[in-house]
Amino acid sequence: MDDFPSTPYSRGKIFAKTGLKVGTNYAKHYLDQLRGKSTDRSSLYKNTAEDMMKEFTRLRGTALKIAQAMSIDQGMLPEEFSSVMSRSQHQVPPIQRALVRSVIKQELGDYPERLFDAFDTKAFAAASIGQVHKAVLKDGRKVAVKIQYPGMRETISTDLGLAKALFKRFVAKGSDINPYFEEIRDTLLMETDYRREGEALDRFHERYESDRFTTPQWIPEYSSDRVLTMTFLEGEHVGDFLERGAGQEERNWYGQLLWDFFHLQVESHAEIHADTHPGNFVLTTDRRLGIIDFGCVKTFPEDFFRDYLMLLPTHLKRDEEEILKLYYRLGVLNSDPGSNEREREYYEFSMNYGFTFAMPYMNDTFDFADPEFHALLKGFTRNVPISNEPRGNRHFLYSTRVHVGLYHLLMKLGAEVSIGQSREKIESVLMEMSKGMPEAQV
Amino acid sequence: MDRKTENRRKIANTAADLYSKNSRFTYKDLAEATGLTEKTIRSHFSNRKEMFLFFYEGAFLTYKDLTEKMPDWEQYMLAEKLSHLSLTLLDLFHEHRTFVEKTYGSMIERAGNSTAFANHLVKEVNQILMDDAEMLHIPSFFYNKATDAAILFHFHGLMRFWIRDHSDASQKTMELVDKWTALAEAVAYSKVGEKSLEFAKFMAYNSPLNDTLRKIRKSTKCYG
Repeated sequence: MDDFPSTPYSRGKIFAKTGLKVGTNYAKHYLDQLRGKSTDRSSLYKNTAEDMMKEFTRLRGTALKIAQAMSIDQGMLPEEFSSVMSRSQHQVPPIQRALVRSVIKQELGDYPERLFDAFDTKAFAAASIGQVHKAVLKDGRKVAVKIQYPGMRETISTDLGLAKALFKRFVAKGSDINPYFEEIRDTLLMETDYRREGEALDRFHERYESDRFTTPQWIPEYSSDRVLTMTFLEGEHVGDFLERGAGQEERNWYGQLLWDFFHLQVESHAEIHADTHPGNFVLTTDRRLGIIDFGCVKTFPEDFFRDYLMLLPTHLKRDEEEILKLYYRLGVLNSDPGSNEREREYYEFSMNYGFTFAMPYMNDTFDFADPEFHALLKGFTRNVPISNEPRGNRHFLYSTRVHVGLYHLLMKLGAEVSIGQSREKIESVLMEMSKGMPEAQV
Repeated sequence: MDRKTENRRKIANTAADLYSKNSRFTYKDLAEATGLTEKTIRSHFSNRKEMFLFFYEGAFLTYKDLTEKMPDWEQYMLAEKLSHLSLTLLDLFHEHRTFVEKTYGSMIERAGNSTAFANHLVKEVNQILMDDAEMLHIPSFFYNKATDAAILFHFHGLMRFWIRDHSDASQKTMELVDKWTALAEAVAYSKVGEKSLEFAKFMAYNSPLNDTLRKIRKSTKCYG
């Protein structure tokens, strides 16, 4: 990809010079620049992705998680890759019925037909490390029972080893992918601990259950390390919701709930539901946002979290001096962009991406249906200049996943969201965090 | 399971637990542990070996009992039925693990096809294979002593694996059962099985090696 960087660099420069106008004219102009160049690259990537895919499907469930985490947001893999990858979700073979029975017997002490009033032997949802069954408890409560494939923890370690070997062939020579793999391994292993997830369910239920949000309740008596039983949330998934052609009012309503849920989590700055995937949200009949799957709940280190949040006000203010400091601290830049051409590409690209990312926060409302915004975000992910060289703090893997995931969901919904106090709230969180904290070294 | 069998099973299970603590337990110990009289126990089993063998047969009968109560067992795929058989037996063995570890090799594996447990097991697997609608049509003569021996051979192998498996909740054995039965199903449903059979039939009559084989057989007969 040696011939490529010059173009996004010049694009970035245009963007920076023009300044951040959210007007459609500008976006159009920028996109015209983007178009035309992207197609060749795109098909090239598609072939690579297909090749890689063939090898990856042999790795079963974990591969999916790895790809999700390593995808576009990191600039490590192109968008085409992740779209091929998401197809594989359906290829993960289900856990056969005899095995489900025995896992339940091993973990909960008896067979499902004796433990439950009813137990659906066919799974209704597949998770990459397990699957979910509907059941009814003896007391009549409807529940979801998540079951983990036997030997998952060990499989993850071996799969990661193989995946790493595979990735090394695609990333630039000399780039250090170890920290990212460590991050992924830690997170995946955490996800196999269903008791921990149960405890997270408890905490989120305590914190967010209200007339606007709902989360399942953990049922520890029917749970173990590898089986997780929780109350079943009746509702519509985003996909179904869109398919039936929900009206704008409804779209805005749920979009707002999603936006607010994200910012409430930031405000509490305790932990964050880090799997912003359409399948993990349901829209209940009483117009609440149901949040499910708490396997991937993240608590970011304070200093990283602060720096990450700082990206917003600095980009809004276009405070390049501060932005530069942050980029150093977050590992986006390795050396002075003023003297190093390559670093300057990273700098300008990241800054412009950051400006786009900050756009929704500029006014009191933001319309995620705006096709220009779609194209703009897509343009960035499609034209990352750093396609095969990982950069940035390892925690970016999940922080961006949450944030990008949120934007993608809102765009899917085509929701117009009231930004309200979100900007101020983030700033007040920052104020609070910086109290008693020494100024980080640059 | 009738009442008599139920009682026999209770006695055999208790005997298995006693055995794992003290292999030299007496009828008196067993009577105390079960709350039955020695006379009643003797009316069910004339010796300890009978009891131990019945532990294994009882496990199979319990599997049958459990399976009959499952409404969806009929819809299970071949691999699922085979897994269900293996995993349920292992679940039952797990409750008396020490006893099984100590006795399976000597009482079941070494006894070949002479035990009631082995007979039940072989019959059940044959039945599962023959009932399977999707399986290629294999003439009944194909199921013979050799296939029976193969079934036992594989089950003994599984038991050895399980006895050595110290992973948490025997997860490794579960994985093995899953992978092995999936493979068996794939072979059974594939053309490979059918073609192999056709090929074997043809070669049985037409192989140029037949003469050689006959000679070898003759010569071994002379010396044997």
